Amino acid sequence: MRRIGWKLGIVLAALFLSGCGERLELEMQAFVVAIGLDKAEKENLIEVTFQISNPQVNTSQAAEAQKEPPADIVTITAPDLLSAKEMAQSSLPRKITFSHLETILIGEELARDKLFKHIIGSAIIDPEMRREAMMIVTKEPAKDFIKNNNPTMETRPHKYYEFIRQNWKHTGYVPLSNLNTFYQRTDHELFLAVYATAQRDPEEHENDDTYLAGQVPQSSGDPVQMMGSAILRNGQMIGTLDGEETRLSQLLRRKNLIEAMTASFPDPANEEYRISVVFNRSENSKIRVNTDRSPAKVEVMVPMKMRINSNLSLEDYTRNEERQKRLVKAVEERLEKKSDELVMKLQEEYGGEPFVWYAATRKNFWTMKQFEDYGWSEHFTEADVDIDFEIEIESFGEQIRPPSLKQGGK
Amino acid sequence: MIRVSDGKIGGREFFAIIYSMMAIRITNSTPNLLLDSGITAAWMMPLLSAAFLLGPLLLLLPLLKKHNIGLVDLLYKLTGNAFGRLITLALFVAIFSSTSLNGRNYADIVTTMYYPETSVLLIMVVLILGASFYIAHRGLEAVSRTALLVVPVFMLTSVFLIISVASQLNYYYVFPIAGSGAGTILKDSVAYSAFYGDIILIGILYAYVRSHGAFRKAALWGLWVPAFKMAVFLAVYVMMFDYPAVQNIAFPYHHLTRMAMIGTVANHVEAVFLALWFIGASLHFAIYLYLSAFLLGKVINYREFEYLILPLAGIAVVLGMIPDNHLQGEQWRKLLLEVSSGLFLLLPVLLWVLDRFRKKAKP
Repeated sequence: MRRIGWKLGIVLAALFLSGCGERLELEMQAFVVAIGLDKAEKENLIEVTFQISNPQVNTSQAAEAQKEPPADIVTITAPDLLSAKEMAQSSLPRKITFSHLETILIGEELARDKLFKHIIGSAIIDPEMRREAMMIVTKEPAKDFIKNNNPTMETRPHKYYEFIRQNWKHTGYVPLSNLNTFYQRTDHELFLAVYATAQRDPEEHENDDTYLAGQVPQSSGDPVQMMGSAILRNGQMIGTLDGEETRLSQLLRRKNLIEAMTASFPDPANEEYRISVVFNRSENSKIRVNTDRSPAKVEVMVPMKMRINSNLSLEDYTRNEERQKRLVKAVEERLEKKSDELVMKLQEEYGGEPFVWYAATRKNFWTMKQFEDYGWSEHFTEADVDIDFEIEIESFGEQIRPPSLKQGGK
Repeated sequence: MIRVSDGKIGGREFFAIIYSMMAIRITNSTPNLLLDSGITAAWMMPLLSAAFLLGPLLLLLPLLKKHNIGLVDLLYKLTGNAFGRLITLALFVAIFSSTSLNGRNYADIVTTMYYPETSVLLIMVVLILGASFYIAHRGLEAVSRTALLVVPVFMLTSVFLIISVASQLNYYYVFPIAGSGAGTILKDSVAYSAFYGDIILIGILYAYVRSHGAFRKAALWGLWVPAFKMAVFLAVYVMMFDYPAVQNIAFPYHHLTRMAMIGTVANHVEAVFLALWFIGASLHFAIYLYLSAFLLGKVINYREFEYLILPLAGIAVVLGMIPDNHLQGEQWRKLLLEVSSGLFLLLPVLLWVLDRFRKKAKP
């Protein structure tokens, strides 16, 4: 019995004490939810801003921490992220951890700098960095963005970023860009990162989606706007796309990540008004790249479903097939025209594509070496691109015909 | 003949043993070797390696049936005492050095990805001298039962892992279909066939398996199931991370578990996979230790070979600590693989030829 007790003791000790090896109490950790990266004044140094969530706020323990703010913001100037993490420890009593890091904000100035690819390239070597973190480029320095971002309802910053990311899937105004996709497109392919700002500079456009972050005419509420995208090539920012171009560049991919999006078009039945429709996509786009001929030819077919949930002109679409056909044709033509313009712009100004067409091109080659020798990005700048949208009207909303206000006014 | 335990093991247990020896290779740095040589076509290489090994396996099976003894005894019988001893020693060196090199690899994964502050030595000691030694020490029957208990769980979680990352995959990334070219792929599939060479090696347990039919079935399933799993995972790695990023990731399996998400709420599920992976690793090394001890016992004519497990486990830890980091060990591992691939591919052929030759010589 004594001998068994001794063995049992060892087993129990192994079972319960093994967890003590690298234990970290919850209250001893500082959970970084967002990192901001900016260029420092001195050459080759960066300013790293940590937004550290306070896990006690808005929980059952909130009573103990009533006067504590929901997040702590610390900015450190350091040569890289890893050393900044250590240096921040000089003022923080808790241990900084990236295990809940979901957002990396990059000031536009740093993103346009040569230093950036070194910073972001070395960041992933740290095993704590998670590849699913979202990358956002901010118009102003990232530290100002973090400071000025004060959402009224989402006091806890990790919820804010989580919810806003969910939201993107239903608007398509910004690309869904995480670090994993960034590292996939490190050659000459273009990578689109979310473009955001907390500075307002409102403009009023006729189209509902041709804005860039900051331009959306909004007059109160949280100053942060996320719209459009920053174009990165070889790990360096080279330009921006507005909301509409960002949407199109996501539609032209084989696999669309946008679940639904609303856009408005001039009404073909009454040019004075616009008609807003909701797009859904159920199927993948079909992409065919012909590399046997020169210049190469790209054929893209984008199937979409459309719901007419608004109708400013109050024209009757539901019972008039002729008008429906005209509407479909007008929408298709407009999307095709805009896409052609976008492709032209990318070919001429940026010399690359963010549509992941390079993956479709790889199908044409037998070995990776052949593909690399072919040099897709050079061929893309000269390629003939043929884009075809195929749109079906799925529903007309909850009215059989528009309310008869128009007739009454006559 | 030494009886490890009272009863022999059945086909299902035997399959579970083979599976836990081979299938866990998707989680260590094996995929890195294959992705480096095959690029986007790396997924074909396990299937080709398995196909190359199928021939030797099919040569070996009738031989084992005919003589009805284990692989080691067959070696002694057909090649003579001295040669048999030499080849057994070679088998022992191949399997034992892979035990210690792989042990180091696993310890490095744990310190890099999960417990950065724990020392490599501690993890090696806990994994090999603690868990694996304990399992191996209980004997073949205990090992096989443990394997049978956990292997279905591993199979289910692998499927579950793939489902939970499926939405993030893009199948276009596996093109160009031939990756680095057909020549390279074929050549390296042969060179790396030692990853599935265990299927020849487990012939040494022939006498412990209940029937020839059970052995044959388990060996054939044990060859293609792990090879197929490896192929699927290699394709998933490429579809997830894309070339060239996939070649730069040190431990793709562990990054994949980090990317896995269940809905939007549970996105830190890697802890579940870590726990199961650690169980799998202990079992894997337990089997390797057991087989090493078995072979060494045959070499030095020591019948109570189970007493060798503890010193071997200790030596494995010490040897594993020699390389400074896991990439230094990687070079040794590559060399070991190529040498042992030749050994596993040619050994059954040699035995078959000898068997033929002797039959004719002795009318």
